[in-house]
Amino acid sequence: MHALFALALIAQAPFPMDTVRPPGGPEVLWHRLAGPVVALRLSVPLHDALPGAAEILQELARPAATREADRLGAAVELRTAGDEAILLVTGPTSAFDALVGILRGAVGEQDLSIGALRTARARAEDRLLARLERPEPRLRAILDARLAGTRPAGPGVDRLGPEHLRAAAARLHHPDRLRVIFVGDVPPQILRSAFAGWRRPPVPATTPPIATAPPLPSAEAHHAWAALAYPLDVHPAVLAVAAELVARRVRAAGLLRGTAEARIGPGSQALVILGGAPPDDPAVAAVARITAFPAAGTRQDGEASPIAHFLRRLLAEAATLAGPAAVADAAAAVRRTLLLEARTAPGRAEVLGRWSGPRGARRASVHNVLDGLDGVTAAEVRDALLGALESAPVLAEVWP
Amino acid sequence: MALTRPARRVAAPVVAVLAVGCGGPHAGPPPPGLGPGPAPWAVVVIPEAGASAVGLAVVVAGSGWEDERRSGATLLAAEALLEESAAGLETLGASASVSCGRWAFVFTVVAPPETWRAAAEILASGLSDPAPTVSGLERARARLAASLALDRASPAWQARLAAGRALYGDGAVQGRESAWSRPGCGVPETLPLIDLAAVRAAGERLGQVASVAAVGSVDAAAGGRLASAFRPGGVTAAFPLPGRASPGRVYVERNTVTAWVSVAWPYGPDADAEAVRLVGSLLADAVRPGLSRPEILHAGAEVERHGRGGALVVTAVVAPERAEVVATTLEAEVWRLAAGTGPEAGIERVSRRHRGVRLRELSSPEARAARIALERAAGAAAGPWPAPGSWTWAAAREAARALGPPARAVVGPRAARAAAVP
Repeated sequence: MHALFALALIAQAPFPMDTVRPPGGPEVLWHRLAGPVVALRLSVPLHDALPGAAEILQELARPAATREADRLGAAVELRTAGDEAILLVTGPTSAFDALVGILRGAVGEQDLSIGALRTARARAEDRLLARLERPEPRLRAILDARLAGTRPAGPGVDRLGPEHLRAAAARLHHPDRLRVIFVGDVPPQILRSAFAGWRRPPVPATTPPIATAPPLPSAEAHHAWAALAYPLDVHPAVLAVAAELVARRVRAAGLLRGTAEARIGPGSQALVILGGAPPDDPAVAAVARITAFPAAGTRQDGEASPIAHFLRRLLAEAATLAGPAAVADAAAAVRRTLLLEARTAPGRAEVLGRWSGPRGARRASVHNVLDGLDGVTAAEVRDALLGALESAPVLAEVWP
Repeated sequence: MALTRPARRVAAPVVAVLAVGCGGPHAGPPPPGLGPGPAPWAVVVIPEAGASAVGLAVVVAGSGWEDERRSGATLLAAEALLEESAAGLETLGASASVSCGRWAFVFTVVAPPETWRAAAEILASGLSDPAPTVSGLERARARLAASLALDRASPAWQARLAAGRALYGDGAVQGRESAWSRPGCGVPETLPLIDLAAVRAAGERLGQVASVAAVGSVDAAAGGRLASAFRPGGVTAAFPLPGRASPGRVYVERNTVTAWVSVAWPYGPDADAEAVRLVGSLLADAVRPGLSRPEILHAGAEVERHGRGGALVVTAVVAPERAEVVATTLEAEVWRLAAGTGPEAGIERVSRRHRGVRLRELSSPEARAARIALERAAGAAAGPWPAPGSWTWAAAREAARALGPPARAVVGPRAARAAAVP
């Protein structure tokens, strides 16, 4: 009996998901996980959003969402990451209806009174400026914006008035645009009825023109930082393994908070390498430039910084080290990391959400990643990394 | 009627049955004088469908054995063990940590399904044959020194220490200074003085495993392997137990703006520990900061578990001149809960929030494993999740009735002194 049960556990595909399409509601991807805790992850793509609007809308929604979550003993998290705005709610299964209510309220009509708007703008601006002050989040924000073809949000959110925010909400919070990842033990018919008939935010008749945003403040940095993003059109499992190999090289190089990761978003996927070092670091300065940095990836003066060159060199080293044993080990590490993160309901919702690409035929999913890991070959990873080397990355830098 | 069996080598679990008083809101813990007794031995394996990882928890004897000169030796030994195991665990994609206490330490391991057995073997090997290296020990010492220094400066830590002294006494117990009035996780002053020999001796005590629990992507047959790995010789664990039952009052003068007021109630082994947690939430809610209580800045509750039940400690940060009122309010609230005749809206409100918070605390497999292992070591049965019946007003009433007479501790300026010293 126990052996059969164990075999059943092994044979079961990890994280199976069903799609529930409630009439008039968001797309709901449902993963059944037994237990008294559920997690709901609502994501809003931001690729065409007015910079700063998503943050203000989140701050407008935060007080009510937090109050309700506190009443239920639930946790609520509102943040923007990559090119998505995310709301993650975790709480008891017995409070499912109320938890869905938190999501509805967050994307519903908000209080745009003078006082509420002033407070929300101030909090949003604090968040955005804090992100721009520190090198690592600043680099990520710049990369995200450049990958999306926009400008990072920063100071000047007070330019956005009620009509701008209504227009932003009407576009961003349209049910057809929203995706909910639900992890928990609730029957699909309950899901369908709970998420049906979401009200579409009203569209304002006119939207006044908006003033130009002020320039971004400079960063406080004591070291030189760079981040490179290489858009890669490869299987997401290949991207994940390639990122793991590069991350190992970056960690071994002893950089300040160096990392490499696979970035999967609604609009794109890319390999991101990031790191910092003292401006006069001899190891960085001594790096022989392999070839000229591809022109489109340079700064305004046509030259990439030594730290950017150093990161690119680490990428090249990872490519040469991408042998079968290393690739298999990296694939196993990626699998373990995903499985460990997914051990709780909110962790699983995050994994499922983060690895979900845009709607449509060709889309990444954590299933693609987990299913594909065993089949990733050294040749595929090497080709991906070498292809990245030959391409022009999206580049962001911070100098002391 | 109290029964204790002498420690002996056995293969079957040994259970110590302790006396519990009856009736009234201050039923009281067992009488003083009982020495350390054997803890039950239990291995629990709970497969969970859909799990993607394994949480493993191992409960071992705590630091209550330490004398004043070696305060922190057990934690140092535990951290040194983790230092030596870190590299091996990392290659398996696993990680381990330890939580410290006077009665028990709990090691937890998180591992992917395909490597959890190997990770368990690494921990078991470290516990059964501790061999800390000098370098591993010094790394652990440096890390602990930093965190203990931060603790020492924290009024919350001072309040916790004072509550322990009020509850378990400063006086000699069985000819020794009571370790239960000292911190369970060491002090900065003694940490540099603990040598390798003392760490090895403390490490040998870590091998006294009382219970093991594995939750998640496991098969039920793993129980036998865990039993062999963690207690191959069938040695019964002997856990330190607190010796004092009657409550006291402690005042610690600190030149601070606010005062930290702690009221602590002991409870016996028959009390529903989850319901005691709910009582803690109810008490903290009764003195929570709000517009009508501007003198209160913070209120929270903690539950300490040990083989004779445990203790509920509620701490509030208050304006010093209001310390006495807040302490009295807390004590009166226990009486009110114990005398309750039916559900109240306030209890339902707090219970709803408490349930959500508690379920989220247990949302990881390692947290559930730690809860199960700790309860089993205390001789109580526990499933992966608390029973909903523990969160009802009736359960809260029974738990309030099971609390013993309270102890008080106050840390703060002299304006707060009256709350502890009449």
